[in-house]
Amino acid sequence: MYFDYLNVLLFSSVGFFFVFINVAVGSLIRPKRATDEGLEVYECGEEVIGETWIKFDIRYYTVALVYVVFAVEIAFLFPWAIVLEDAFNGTGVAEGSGVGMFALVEGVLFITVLFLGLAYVWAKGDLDWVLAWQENVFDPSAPTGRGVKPRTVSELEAEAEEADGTDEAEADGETSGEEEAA
Amino acid sequence: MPILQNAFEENLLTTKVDWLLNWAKLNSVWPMTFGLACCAIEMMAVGAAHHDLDRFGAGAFRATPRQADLMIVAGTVNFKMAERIKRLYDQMPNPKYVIAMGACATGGGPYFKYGYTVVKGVDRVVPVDVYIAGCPPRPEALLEGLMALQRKIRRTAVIRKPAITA
Repeated sequence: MYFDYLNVLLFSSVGFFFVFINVAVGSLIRPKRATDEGLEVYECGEEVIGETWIKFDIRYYTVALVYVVFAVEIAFLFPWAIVLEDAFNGTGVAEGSGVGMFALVEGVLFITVLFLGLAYVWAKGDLDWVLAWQENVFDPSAPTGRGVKPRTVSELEAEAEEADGTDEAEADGETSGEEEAA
Repeated sequence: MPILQNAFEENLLTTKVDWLLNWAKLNSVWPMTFGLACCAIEMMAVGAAHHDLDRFGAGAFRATPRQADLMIVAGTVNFKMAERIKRLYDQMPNPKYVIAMGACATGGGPYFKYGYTVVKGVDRVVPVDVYIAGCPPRPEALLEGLMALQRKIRRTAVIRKPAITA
């Protein structure tokens, strides 16, 4: 019995040291002529510009997830829609299968589930790609461009008048400050 | 640290070890996936079933220079590409080999006189081991070039000192 486990030990130790012995022998024999050009990052032969450890925008992750909704919808609904008539009439590919109303309900259920996902991301605001850019930082909690309430012309004029009033009031006191900003 | 490289005199043991190492090396010359012009079509034909480059152990075309031993320059090398070829060659691990396939890569070919964008031979950029004539060379010619490279590898001294030639 112990002999069986000795086999395992022998095999695993030989397998373990085989790798290191090969690497060690190879390092004794192989030519080593490393150059700075050779150690560059491989970019399909192009010259590397900047750092290769770059941060990818996390919002692409959301886009990829939302894409799945539409991809799955297209992939499954086209064949489903084509054979739906056959399913109701009991002809063609669905001959004798008797899936008429069942196929329709299944399909509608499928669409509903996908639509719930779409509605979720829509309500969450992930379909608005550009987040608010305020004070040189992205603020995800700030109201987005599409989130701004539509206003009538008269409302806009009223806002502009208010803004003019405040500007004039500020201009009396802080003339020097504005000149610096300009 | 390659302390065993070219460290021993020629004797029965070292020549046999060299034979073994070279045998392993020349039967696994992995080329880089690298086609520049119409010669690359012939190179694909060589890699396909009819001519079957894999018989010579060179059928594993690698998509990165890090895993490749051989660069088959298959086609016209213009100046814009020559810079990239040099960089790709530098990024290949040693030992590495270059085959100049066809007239363009060998010496400019039909673009020798008026091709102002064409490098007159890839050997102006990287060291070439084997030149293959033809425009483009037939697949058999590329196989012959590979076999010539294998003959060259078979002669290289790995742990024995290289023979002094006149």
